[in-house]
Amino acid sequence: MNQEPGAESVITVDEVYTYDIGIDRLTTTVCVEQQGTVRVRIPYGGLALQHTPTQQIPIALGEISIGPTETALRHNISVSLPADALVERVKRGEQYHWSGTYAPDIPNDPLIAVDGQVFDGADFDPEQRSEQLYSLLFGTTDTFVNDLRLQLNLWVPNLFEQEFLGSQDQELRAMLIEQESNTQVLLPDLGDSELLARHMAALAQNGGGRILFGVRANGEVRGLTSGELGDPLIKHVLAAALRCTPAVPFFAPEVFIDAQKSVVRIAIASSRTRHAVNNSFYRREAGMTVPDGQAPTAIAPSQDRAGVNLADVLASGNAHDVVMIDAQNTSPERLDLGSYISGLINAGSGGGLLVIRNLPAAGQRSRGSTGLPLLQRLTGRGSGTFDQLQERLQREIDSLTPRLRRLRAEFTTLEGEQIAVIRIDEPLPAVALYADNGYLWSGGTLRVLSATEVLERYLQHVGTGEVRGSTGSAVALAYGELQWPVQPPTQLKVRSTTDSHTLTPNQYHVQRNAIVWEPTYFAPRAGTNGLQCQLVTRLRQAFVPVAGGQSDGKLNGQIRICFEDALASGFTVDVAPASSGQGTLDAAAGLFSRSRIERRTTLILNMQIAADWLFQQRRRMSLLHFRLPDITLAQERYERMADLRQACADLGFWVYDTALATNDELQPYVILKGVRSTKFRDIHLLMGIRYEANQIDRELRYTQRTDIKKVQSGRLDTRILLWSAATIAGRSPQARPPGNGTGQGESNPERTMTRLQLDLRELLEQRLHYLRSE
Amino acid sequence: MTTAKPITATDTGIERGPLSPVRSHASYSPHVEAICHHSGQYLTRGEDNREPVSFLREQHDFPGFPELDDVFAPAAHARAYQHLSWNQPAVQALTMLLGALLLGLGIYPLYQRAEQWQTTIEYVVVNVLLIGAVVLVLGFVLRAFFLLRNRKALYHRRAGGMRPAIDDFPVLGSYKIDLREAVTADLHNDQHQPPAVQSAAGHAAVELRPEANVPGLYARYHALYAQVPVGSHIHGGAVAFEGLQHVTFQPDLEYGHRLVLRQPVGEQFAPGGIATTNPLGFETAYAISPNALYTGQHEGQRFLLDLQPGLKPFDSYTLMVRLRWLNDNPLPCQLEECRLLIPPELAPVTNFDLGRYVAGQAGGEIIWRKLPFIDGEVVLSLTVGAALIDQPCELTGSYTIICDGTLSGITVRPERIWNALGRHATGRTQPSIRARSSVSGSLLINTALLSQEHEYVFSHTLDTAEPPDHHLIEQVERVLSHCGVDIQKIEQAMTRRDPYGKLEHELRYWDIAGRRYEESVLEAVDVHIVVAGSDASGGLVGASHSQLDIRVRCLHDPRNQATAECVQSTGQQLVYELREALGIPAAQQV
Repeated sequence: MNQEPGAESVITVDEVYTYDIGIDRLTTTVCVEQQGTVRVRIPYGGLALQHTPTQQIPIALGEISIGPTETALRHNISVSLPADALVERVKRGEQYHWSGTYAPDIPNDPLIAVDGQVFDGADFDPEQRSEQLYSLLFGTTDTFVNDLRLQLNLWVPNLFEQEFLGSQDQELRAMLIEQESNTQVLLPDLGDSELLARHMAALAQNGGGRILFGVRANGEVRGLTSGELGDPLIKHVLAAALRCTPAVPFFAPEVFIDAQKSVVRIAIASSRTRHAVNNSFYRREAGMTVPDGQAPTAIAPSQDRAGVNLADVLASGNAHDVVMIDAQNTSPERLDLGSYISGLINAGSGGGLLVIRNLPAAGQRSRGSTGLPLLQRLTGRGSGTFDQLQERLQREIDSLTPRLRRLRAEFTTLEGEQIAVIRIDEPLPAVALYADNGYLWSGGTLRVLSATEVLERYLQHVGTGEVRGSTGSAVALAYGELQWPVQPPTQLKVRSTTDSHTLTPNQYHVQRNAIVWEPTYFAPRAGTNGLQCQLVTRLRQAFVPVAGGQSDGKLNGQIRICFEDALASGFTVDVAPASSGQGTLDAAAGLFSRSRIERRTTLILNMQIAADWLFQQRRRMSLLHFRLPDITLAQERYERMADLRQACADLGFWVYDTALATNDELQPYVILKGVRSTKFRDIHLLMGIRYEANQIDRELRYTQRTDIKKVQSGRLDTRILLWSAATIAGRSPQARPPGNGTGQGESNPERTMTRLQLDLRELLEQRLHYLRSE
Repeated sequence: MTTAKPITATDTGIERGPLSPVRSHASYSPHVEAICHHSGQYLTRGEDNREPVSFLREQHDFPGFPELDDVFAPAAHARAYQHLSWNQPAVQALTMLLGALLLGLGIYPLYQRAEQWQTTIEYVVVNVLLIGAVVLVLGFVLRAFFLLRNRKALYHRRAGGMRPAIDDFPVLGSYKIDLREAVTADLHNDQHQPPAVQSAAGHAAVELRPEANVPGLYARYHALYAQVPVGSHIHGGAVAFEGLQHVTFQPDLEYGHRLVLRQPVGEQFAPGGIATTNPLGFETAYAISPNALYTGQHEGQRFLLDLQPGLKPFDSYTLMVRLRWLNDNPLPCQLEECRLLIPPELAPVTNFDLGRYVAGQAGGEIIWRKLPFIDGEVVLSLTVGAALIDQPCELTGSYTIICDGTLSGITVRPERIWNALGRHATGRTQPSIRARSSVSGSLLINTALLSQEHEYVFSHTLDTAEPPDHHLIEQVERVLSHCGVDIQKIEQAMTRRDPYGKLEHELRYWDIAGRRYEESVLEAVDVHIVVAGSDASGGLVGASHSQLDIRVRCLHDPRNQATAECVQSTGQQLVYELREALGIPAAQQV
């Protein structure tokens, strides 16, 4: 069997669809070109050709079948490996390559939907949770005064769901019918962690697959008990994944319910590296996990460690990657080391140092020591503090998952103080559990992580935290650029950093004279069977006239989107190795039978954005902030909420959602969402009211006595956010009046918004005036 | 209706693959240990035939030359290239020992029957025979031991003048390998495409310094094998290169990746027939595929080295020139030299951080040298006497960057160097391997493509007897809307009593922020109005008062004066309309 890394053949099927997209009054999406490319690369060499004699005729390796599922419509490519000068080619490390093109049909539905928006207020989704809306509203008000920004929303259909089976129940049925296979493992319960690790490594090696918990081998649903679900399941799966070297990429557990029995699916992503469990590889064969050879002995990491100036470290104290533990001259047998090791690894800062101070001197009998066993006293072994610490460390390592056998304590003395240092350095595991719990060292404190948090960190580390198909496939923005006339300057006065997170990472590239977005993943869009990505950039300097030129208000650019492991045409790719009877050589055919098939769909979007039109249509947003004194929001909060609803209703706002909660400082707050639709124009409302309590102490000092009165008072911090999208519906920019295109009264939504805000304020102040308690 | 899609073959052929070409020629295993010094085949540990196979059969590469032959005892041999021969002295010794044994066995019965021989003649004859036989046996044994002990010397004495097993004179020594690459690309900031690589070539040089005893060995070799046609070339081993995806050797190397250290004797080793220990040079050149020098794919492709000039945010006279690597893990490197010509219109140069200024007739030149890249980038700065984008011009110059490593990715590992024995060179010496790359070219910075933010502010204050209440704010809001200002934020501070006034006075404070856009370039004009004042809640006449602080500002590119003019006109319009709306006489101005 050919086991040499990189020796496998690679079949790449790449479909490229080029769209011309114009974002103007009418967004146009036209597919102008589509092309499919098949590339086959077969390396000479590897151990598969070991017994192949040199011959003049090509070695027939087999066929590649590409096309729709109907057999009659498929196209077959016969693959033969030129065998002349075979030995010479092996010696030169060469490979045979074949490329061909085909023309897939234009998709019936566009593979991309794009819309653009220009706005200058806060970028937020009104459908997000009330806690997030609270943070936005009651954060700094500068968030709502921003540079003009362009936002492009890209939406793509979920090509990975082509085999979507309908309801979750149907999907589970289909999986159960499949029973044990090379891509599916059935486990009746959580079982043994070692066995699970082998299954995970084998599935990852096999191109991905899934493990169903709660299903017996015959497909009968047993169901997981409530005690097995949740944290125990997550910890068990994490422990198994961490047993693999390197860690196996898998996706978050999904729960299916069948007749009130819970079945959990763990999807294992395809991995190009081999994962060993206890120095052995595994593969799936005939629905079973079988050994697949021994892993090579791991190369010991370099012992050349950078020196650490311990005096500086001690002077600095706790840091993001340094933990100080004071042993207080007590026995190190009781030191809690494992949780700190776990915390440093989970912090993701690339390891760190565990510094144990004030250890008892080597010959000193430490406080709390229980005395030396007779054997130790006789042999002199293990009698010192250092030996005790090493033993303690080993015991702590036994409780860690994975077990970091390389960890050692190093000892030194600084100004008479006994100090031990434990370096936690590369190679580090994705996460680490200590006694089945995860910890996090952050900000100089250690806190316990929930199982879900540890899982999230693990998924982020192995790259499955992003949204991918069940086989590990992903949609990503591979590249995006918008032509820019000049290089944007460093911002003179950064008004606010509060919105920086809303700008998709981009920077100006001189070589392209363009704003370039770096690769990023698409995320699923709620309510659709698709994925979306938002690109946001500031618009400043986009139309600076250069060398006397005039701007036409258009922005041009190109965006490339890549679907990994999916073909938009729906074509499938199969490999059929030639059989011995066809005159081929089994050994050489081995090169072909284990070919890696890479499928990719690329969308090239040639963009032309009418920024001037988007500007006319820009989203306008306005915030009103005021405080009403001496009004409480305690027991009567429901009445207050009703008052607010009524005030909004009086101005034509329909409040469709309310939320009443408290923040971290236990201040009650109310969030209201509403909309006002008049004359085909919607004005959206987001109102937040927060009660800020304060206590007033009054002292009246008389000659003979002092009267003290304490009054519990407070105020309502009120923030009203209104925004409107289309401002000049049905009117062309040419028809706009001079003076920046503003009008009067209702015809000017901007004017309307501000007036509504002030009216609402007036209304609230009037109505709540009589409720003042002080 | 989906139709069958014919697939048209567009390209087919052979190319360099991802696998390392260093692999056994017999088993294709990549775990190569040695090279057969006869055939050049790669050998794994298992395929290596280090020792002679038996006592009687030995392997000699240099018959008649024991010093060199001993050195070659551990040489690597492929199985097909073993040259075992019978060792004649050993065979003779064995024959003698056998003869002695047979003779001993033959005379032993005679010795046992010694009492049978009664006559004097018989006695004498038998004893003479016995003594003679014993002497012969002893002689055979002694001779056999002598032959065995001196079998190697005897072999070489007898084999003098025979042809060596290899035709080349082997040179053992220390290795110094130097990989140098040079890439030329011009970095300009006024092009819409990544810089084109004008030239990208590499050069690999191997220097073999012979061991001290090599001249002496060669002199004996030359004398010994004068009659046989060998020794026209020297052989110093082989060096295998890896990481060749972007490299094409010119001319091609053995197996496309291996430089054999072989050259005529007279070329460098023994020009006048007398060998020296002077270093022997071997070299090869290669071309670098431009693909190695770009990051990204297709339209997003960018040259690895990026020039990004810019103006200092608060200084229109200071140019920052940033050179950075766009790849994730750039090689350690330093800016060897950067020269930038300063045109006369920008003179004088008042500051040149980390560089030196050379004045000339037509402006001057700033030269930076030996500046290390930190985190993949280096930033140069210079301050000139004129505002840089006030008089757009082109600054030209040149740069040279030296990297510690190869840009193409070609590598040589110490275990991929084999000496003339076919063994790892690391067994006898520690090879020195150096790799350096230089990137150089011209620089062009068009200051017209740089931009900067300048600030322009219009301010005005109005006083009015209107109380700072809802009605006043409504009027302000109406004026702002009329002037085309998008109101983004209205904040009212908590009303409070005037601590220094009467109790019926309420102090109010409003903060209004809005924005108007200059539509031709979508630049923003920020409007900020603060309304502060007191309101007499008791209805006292003349007790109310408000002050309106109006600020209109913009951040604009200095070439774009339209935005600044828009600020001025907006401010004036706001002041005018607020006066009109609030009934403030035009003469009043603060």
